[in-house]
Amino acid sequence: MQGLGFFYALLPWLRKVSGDGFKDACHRHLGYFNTNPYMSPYVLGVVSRLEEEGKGEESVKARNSLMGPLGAMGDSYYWATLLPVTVLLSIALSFFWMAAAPVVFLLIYNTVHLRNRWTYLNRGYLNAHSPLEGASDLNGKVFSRNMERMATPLLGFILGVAAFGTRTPGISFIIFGVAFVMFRRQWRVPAIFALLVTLGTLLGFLGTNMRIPWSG
Amino acid sequence: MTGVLAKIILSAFIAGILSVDRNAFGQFQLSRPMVSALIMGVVLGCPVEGAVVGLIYELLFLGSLPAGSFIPYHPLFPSLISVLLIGMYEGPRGQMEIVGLAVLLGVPTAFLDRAVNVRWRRSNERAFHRAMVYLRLGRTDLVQLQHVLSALRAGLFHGVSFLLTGAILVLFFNALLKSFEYLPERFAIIAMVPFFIGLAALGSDRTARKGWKGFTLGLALGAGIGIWKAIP
Repeated sequence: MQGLGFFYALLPWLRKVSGDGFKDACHRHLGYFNTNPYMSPYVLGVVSRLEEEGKGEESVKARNSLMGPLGAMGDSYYWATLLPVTVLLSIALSFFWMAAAPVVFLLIYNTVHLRNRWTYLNRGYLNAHSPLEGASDLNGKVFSRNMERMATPLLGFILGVAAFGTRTPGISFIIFGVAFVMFRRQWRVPAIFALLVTLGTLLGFLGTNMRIPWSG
Repeated sequence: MTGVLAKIILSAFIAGILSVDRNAFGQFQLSRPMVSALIMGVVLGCPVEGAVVGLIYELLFLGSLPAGSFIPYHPLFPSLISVLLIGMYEGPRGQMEIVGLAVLLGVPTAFLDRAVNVRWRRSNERAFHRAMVYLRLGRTDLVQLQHVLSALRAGLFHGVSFLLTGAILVLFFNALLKSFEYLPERFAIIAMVPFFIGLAALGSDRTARKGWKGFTLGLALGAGIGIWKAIP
């Protein structure tokens, strides 16, 4: 998966520290590697330090043992928390200043992950001898919890503005309500989509004054 | 005709570059529809519609997350295709009425996007095996080259697929509008459907985890602002 990329990033360091064992070091680290892409600098830090100290086999063990936990940690933090919250924040902002929404989204998201990547690399290098202990609370539990708390009010806010900002708040709530109940009943997205598009088309034919929320 | 073709080629080029960001380099989230649709909108001369399409797709696909090795449906192709269709339309009606129809035609291309992504990943496996052979021969420079080529291949695969899909859908879209004159007005409501489905998907997930208190508070505040904005 990401084995080639990991090797590409590590190669200049291996050239510098491996000396005569460069070829063996290359064979050790061109292999299977798959974790959350934002968390990989931590593994790079750990492996770099261990290779520098000549502990090649230990570095392979550390790499293999870190992939899974870091993948789970990164997925829940970046994909399930940071991304949705920054997107929702930007959408909420777009109701007042549409042009600023993508800029704010890119600014917040990229500042957080670029800062974190640098921190992970350093922390990996410093905690190379106890990598799993060093990886606990890499993303800050308090920050993650607060980010997650923001999501639900933001969702409500967007629904409120989007629905009541139109001439047809009733229809907006009908669509939202029907979809919400279907999701709770474990319906699949294509089925919900097909049903609501049909419903929307029928409503479109019946109503004459329906406009999308931002058309003014 | 040359203008249309040039626009489609330019769009395919943008799709290729953005897919490199998404798959192979950086992951700066330039491929999120909020950003990519706006970029495409600016290039094709319809930035407002691009931004609206971006927001719709953002909500619709926000729950589609790449957890573990699962390859999710990504809104890059659908959002760009929708903006391309809007940008190509030069009819007499207001552009906003086209948004609903363009979104409806764009959504199914998420399947294509995923198929291309899977294909690219398979080609990466072959690149990896080639890299192993080069390493055995002691050619680390060629191993590095395989990595660079793999990133470029992401752009090529997505760009070419987008070019073909875009060309077919633009033709279909124009034929559809010529055959059914009042179709876009009937479909204006459809643009709202994905937006509210996206909200419902997230609402269902988040309220189950965090309860209704925050959601209701946000809804009350949003409703107040919405009503205030709606008053002429």
